[in-house]
Amino acid sequence: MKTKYFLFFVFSIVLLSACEEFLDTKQPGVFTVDEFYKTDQQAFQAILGCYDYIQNVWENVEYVPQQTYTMMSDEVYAGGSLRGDALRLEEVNEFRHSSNNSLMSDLFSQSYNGIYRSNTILERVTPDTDIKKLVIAEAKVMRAFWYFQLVFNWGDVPLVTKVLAPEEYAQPRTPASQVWAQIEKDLNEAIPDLPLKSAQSKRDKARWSKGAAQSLLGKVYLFQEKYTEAANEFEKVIISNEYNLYPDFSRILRKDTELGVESVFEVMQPLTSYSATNVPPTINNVAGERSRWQRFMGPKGGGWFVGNTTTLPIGNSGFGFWNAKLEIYQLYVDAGDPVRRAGTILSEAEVIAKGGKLRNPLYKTPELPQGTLAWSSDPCLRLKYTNWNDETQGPTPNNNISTNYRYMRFADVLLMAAEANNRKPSPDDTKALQYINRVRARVSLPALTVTGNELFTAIKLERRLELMFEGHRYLDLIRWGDAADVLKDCGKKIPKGDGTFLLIPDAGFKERNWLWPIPEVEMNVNPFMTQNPGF
Amino acid sequence: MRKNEKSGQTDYLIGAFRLLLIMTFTFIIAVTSVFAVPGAGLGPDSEQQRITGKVTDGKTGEPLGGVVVQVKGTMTGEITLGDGTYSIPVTADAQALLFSFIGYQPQEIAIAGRSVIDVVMAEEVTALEEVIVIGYGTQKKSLVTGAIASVSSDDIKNSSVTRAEQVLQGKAAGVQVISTSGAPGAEMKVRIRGYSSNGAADPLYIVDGIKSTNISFLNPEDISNIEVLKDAASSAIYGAEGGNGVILVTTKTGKAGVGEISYDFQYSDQVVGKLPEMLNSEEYATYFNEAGLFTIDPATITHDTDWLNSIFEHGNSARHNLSFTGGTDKSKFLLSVSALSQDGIVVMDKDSYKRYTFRLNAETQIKSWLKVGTVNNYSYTQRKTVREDNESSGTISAGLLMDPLTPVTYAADEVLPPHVQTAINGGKKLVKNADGLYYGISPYITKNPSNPFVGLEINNTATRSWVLQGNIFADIQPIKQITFTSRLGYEIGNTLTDGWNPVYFYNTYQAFNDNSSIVAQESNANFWQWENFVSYTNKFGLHNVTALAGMSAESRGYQYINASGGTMLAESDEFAQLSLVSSQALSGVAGQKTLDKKASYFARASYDYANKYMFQATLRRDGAGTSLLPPDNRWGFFPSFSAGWLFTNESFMPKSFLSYGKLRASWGQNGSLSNLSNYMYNSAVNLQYLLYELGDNVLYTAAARNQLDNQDLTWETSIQTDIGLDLRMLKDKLTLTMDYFYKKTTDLITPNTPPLEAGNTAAMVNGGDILNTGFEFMAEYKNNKGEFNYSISGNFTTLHNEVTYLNPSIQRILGGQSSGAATFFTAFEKGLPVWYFRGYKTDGINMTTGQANFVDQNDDGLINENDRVFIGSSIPDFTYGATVNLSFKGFDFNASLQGQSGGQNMILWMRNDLPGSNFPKFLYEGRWTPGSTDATRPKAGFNPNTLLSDQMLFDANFIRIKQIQLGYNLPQSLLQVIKLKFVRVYVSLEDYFTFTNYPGMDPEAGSTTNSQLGLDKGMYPITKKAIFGISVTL
Repeated sequence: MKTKYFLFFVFSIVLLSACEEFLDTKQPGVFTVDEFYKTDQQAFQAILGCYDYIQNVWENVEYVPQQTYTMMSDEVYAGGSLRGDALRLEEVNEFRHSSNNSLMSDLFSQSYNGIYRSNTILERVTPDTDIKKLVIAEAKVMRAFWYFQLVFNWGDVPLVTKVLAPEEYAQPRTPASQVWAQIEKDLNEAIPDLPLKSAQSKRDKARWSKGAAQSLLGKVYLFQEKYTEAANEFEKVIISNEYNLYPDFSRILRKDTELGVESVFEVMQPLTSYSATNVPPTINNVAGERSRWQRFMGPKGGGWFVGNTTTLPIGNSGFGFWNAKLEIYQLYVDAGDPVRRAGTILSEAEVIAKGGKLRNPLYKTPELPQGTLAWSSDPCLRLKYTNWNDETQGPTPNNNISTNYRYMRFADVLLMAAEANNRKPSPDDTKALQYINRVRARVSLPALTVTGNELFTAIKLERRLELMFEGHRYLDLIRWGDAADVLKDCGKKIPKGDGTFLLIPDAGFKERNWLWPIPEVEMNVNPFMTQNPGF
Repeated sequence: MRKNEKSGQTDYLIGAFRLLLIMTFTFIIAVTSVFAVPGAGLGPDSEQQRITGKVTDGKTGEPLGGVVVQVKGTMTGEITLGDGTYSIPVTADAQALLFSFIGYQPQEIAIAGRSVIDVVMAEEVTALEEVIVIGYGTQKKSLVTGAIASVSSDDIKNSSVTRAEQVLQGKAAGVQVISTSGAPGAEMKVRIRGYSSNGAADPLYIVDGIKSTNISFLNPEDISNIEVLKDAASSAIYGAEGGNGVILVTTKTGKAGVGEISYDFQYSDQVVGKLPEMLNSEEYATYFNEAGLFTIDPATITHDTDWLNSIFEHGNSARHNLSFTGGTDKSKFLLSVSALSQDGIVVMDKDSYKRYTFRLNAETQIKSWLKVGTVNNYSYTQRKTVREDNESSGTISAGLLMDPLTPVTYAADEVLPPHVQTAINGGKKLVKNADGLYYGISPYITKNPSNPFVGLEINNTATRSWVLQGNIFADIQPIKQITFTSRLGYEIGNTLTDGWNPVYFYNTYQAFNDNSSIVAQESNANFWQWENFVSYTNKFGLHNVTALAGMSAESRGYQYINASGGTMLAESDEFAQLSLVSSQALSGVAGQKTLDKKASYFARASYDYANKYMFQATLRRDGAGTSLLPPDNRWGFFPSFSAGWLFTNESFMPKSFLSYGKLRASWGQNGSLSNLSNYMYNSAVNLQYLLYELGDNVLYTAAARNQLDNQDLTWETSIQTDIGLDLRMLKDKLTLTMDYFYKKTTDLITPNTPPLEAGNTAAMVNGGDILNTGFEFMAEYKNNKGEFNYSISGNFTTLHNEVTYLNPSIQRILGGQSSGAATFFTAFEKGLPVWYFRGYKTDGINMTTGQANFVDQNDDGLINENDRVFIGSSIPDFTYGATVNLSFKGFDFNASLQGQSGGQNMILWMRNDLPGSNFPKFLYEGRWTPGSTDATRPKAGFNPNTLLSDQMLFDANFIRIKQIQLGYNLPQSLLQVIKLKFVRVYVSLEDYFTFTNYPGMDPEAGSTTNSQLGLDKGMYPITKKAIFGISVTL
């Protein structure tokens, strides 16, 4: 009978106590911040995290920066199925956006996410091996890359060059001049440690090279109107002979010229990509690796656009969010530029001649017996960054366009160099003409001979013709100060597809549009933040 | 299709038969093991004499039939006949006889050599002597100082519930059970005293002392009673996790007495209730011609499909339950087996639920100081679901949105429309029905939705779960006043979801698949909980003292493995095996493990003086594992205090109509961690799913920090005050219970939105406060006129819900989203109810433009996001329920209703980005047309702002008759002839009548996502059920 007392005693002592260690479990599947960033391999993985963020931003459906830039140019209509299908695109397309337009607020937050990744590397990686030195140089270029977007679009923005502690999250605006200075400093520090493109292995051609960083630095100078410095940087790139123009203009943005001779910096869109809807291993969840935007921007399918497998090999399941304006076709006609026209845009007659169509017979109306065009579109077809049948991966065409985005290509560098030489305090129009004519020669256009302001006007047109739909036009209009004039009626007349127009009287570029609005969420949570004028 | 239904039923019969076999064997084993200890030897050899006698009612003197007479310590038992007489064999060593009968106090009478023993049975004393279950113990109901609602097996019996939590629906004040979906086996949302979180606010379930994430594995017939701990004082013993209330479920056990065998069978036929009215072909053509979207010539209309009605048919469910109970005064057991099979009301057998359960509860007083026991439930469930709660591709939303001009199938002699013929010519695999007819494809809707029949036809997925749940315990009683309990609980669950996707084409947007594939996901949950506690009870004169102290440790592991592969070698169930694929190129695997741990210490002291003044205090200290909270903040401390005054026991109280009166008050703190998991506070370097392709077209693994740090994260705490009054009057015929509660949740664990320059996803933060206050009222009146017994009961709850504080770094948190509109419909913000509807206010229709007048809240001349405001909330102002029970002789009748008022739903199956999808009639009927002067709805077509406005907001008030049941108990005289103890047959109508003006699917049918309260995205409707059942006890 003593057993029960004994048992009770043992139970009481043993069971009524528990130990603290019982609650400690190690977080599975991750490294702590302190144990990472030590080896070459970890430094390499961390810098890939920076590249991956750029790709992450560029792979999406809507939040692709060059899409927002293109929407805000005079190149396209927002499109979609009907009015309201692409609310955010319509807002920026018509300059009716407010501080909570997510295309803009996402670019703001994404830029700081990219900066955070760079800052982590710059704080944590010690430059004790060549690989780590290179990683540090790349992290600086990437930080400059993001700040360039921020300072250009928003002006004064918080300059964050370290990982912030919770009490430091809210930062005041830093004068733009200091942000530009930091961008220049980061690039200048990085350039000596970066390899020439020719020294990069096939694998590393996707990373920043010396020439790419120099081009970016030149662009940074150009955008600040520091033309002499810009011309110097571009000159280094041009005389390095690391880059050239690809002969066939119609293929410069296509898969087969990726990381090729004209490539300065590209955002990689992986070959091994899957989409959620057509491939079983969704559980591999490489969803973040797919590039869908080209399909979304592709011509509106669903009965409207139909291509032809041999003569017009473009998928017919696009969503039609980038509908080219018909006036662009005319622009090339007027410029006498058939080569670039053929690589950029087709008229409806040309589409039909190639065995395709743009109209949907189900939507025919008495006025338009042959059917209507898709909502918010003109009778023409855009050919750059579209859903080419032969550039899709996986068994279902049209879903996974793996073509890289050309962030900067050599033709752009040549035209920027021409502009810098034309505009610098002691102009060198000989050099400027040499560079612009090199670009024109590729597309069989006669050499220009004009100089001075006339040459500057010619460079502006040349940039438009060369870089149409590549996301540069809006930036150029802003930095040249031409936006108010060129974009003032942008978005006022939206084609309905049946020949009539939806009128948006309050659309068009206004004084407040020189800068983007600070995101509403930032305004709500950062007491030091002030809004840009007019928002 | 029909064949499948048949084979399903055969499967089910075979399954039931197998279970019966297993059950029989196990029964034999169980009985042998449980009763091996007391020893055998009750054969006829040892019979020596019989005892006879008569049992009468103490009040009326009438003879009592049906009384159980049992020889103490044996299984020998008899039942008194209609004249109250009995005759029972006893052995020489028999000491006493036990007499028991429902509604009477059991008696133990020493034999003392007598051969004739007459017994007078006294009616059971008032229900106040009832004992109810509280955390880690029981308490006399009369002395309870907290707010506890109780539901017993009587309320569960004979209702058509398939899930245990349904039992609570409309039965208890302050407990809202929301049937968001009527799909077979669908979960319910249980909210106790409001919505105390912006995330998960589910109560804590404790089944036989074991913490459980849900109670879907339970067979409702196995439940003895359910207690809902509503106030902080009652639930504080569960401390850290009691913040959203606690539901204690106790399963049945055997009774000392004669062994009983019970069998219940129930069959129910189910049909869909009221459906929203959508446009027919003619109206559709008119509307879209007006909208300028299509030009449809009414003369060309060939079909008029009522999609919504076409996707529903009769459903049915059958339930069998067989249980064996028995025991002696030392050992008791319950063995039960049940089978449930339900086929839902959506056409084809893609919505079904099957559940088989097997339970063994046993305990034995093995030594005078030691009792050991166990409860075990093994369940197998199989669930097939159709897609609902999805405005993009749900079966239900497709039924709502398909255009009426497209037929379900094209007739055999019909010329296929050009778009269909084109797809066929293009080599697309269109889906056919069983008769080989092509399903209709809409030419008008170019995105989703697509034909709902296709979605059903290609759905080959089923989820199966196996759950073993139970505990093993020992009570050691070294001295009479002290009991030490050690209890090891466990729950081991396996869930397997597998299926396959055929090649099909439905439209170019998303409804196609060019590659057949097989998918399988297996997850394994592994939970154990070890609790040890000592309780002390003593009495010093009029002072009664109870004390309790203990600890608990638990660990919950979870692991899943996913695999997929394609292309399939053949498209059929038989070939849906991952080894049978044409190549491994499309195969994939994934898997992950998590582990959460918790440790706790708790104590409770209760004191009462002369059953007049009651006091209780509890303390709990909880520790969360590293996976939930940072080590520095892991310990939480949760106290509570309560007091009661049973004023009718005071000598100065005059004897009056009031027979019992108690005033209660309580205050306490609880915690909640239900919004935390997986190191949400910690910034770490993640490599998962971070890939970047370099120039050699190889994907390399990248690394990045997963989120910002918040090492300050701590417990979410709710503080609740409750004042209550319990009254009984008119000789206990009328019972009233009233409670007022004030419940504030602070340090709400919420996602954060730091300034964007912080540079990463935020960690969870302690972000805000929510206040829930309300008044609860319950009343019951019971009486009888001769053999006519009747009772009426009702409950009523008011609720005020408000976010009272939000961390200054957070302006508002945005919640429910529609994938199409890509905007947020609900928000969480200071000064407003949890997840209120945020949208545009409208002020009538502009008779010139035909558009709604959207209110420009900030007068800036623009209608944009800044003009969205509070337009309503889905949280009802009050909820209520009522029940009537009548019985006369063998007949009984009961009816109950449930209702709510003051909440709204927002219809969200409409999407502005799906041109051509059908419209509800309410947008057609009052619409503006040129020249209108009294239009109430905007002109045809879709202004996206309309979807986001109060134009789509509707009152979700309803009254639902939950049950109307008529039963008949066979009379004793007949039962004696057929040698049965009890037989009842009944018919019942459930959820049959619903009174509401809501024009959507169902007023209760809000989304199941926490942040999307009240967003009607096309839920599976709640079904109307006609039920027949029979219960037999042997």
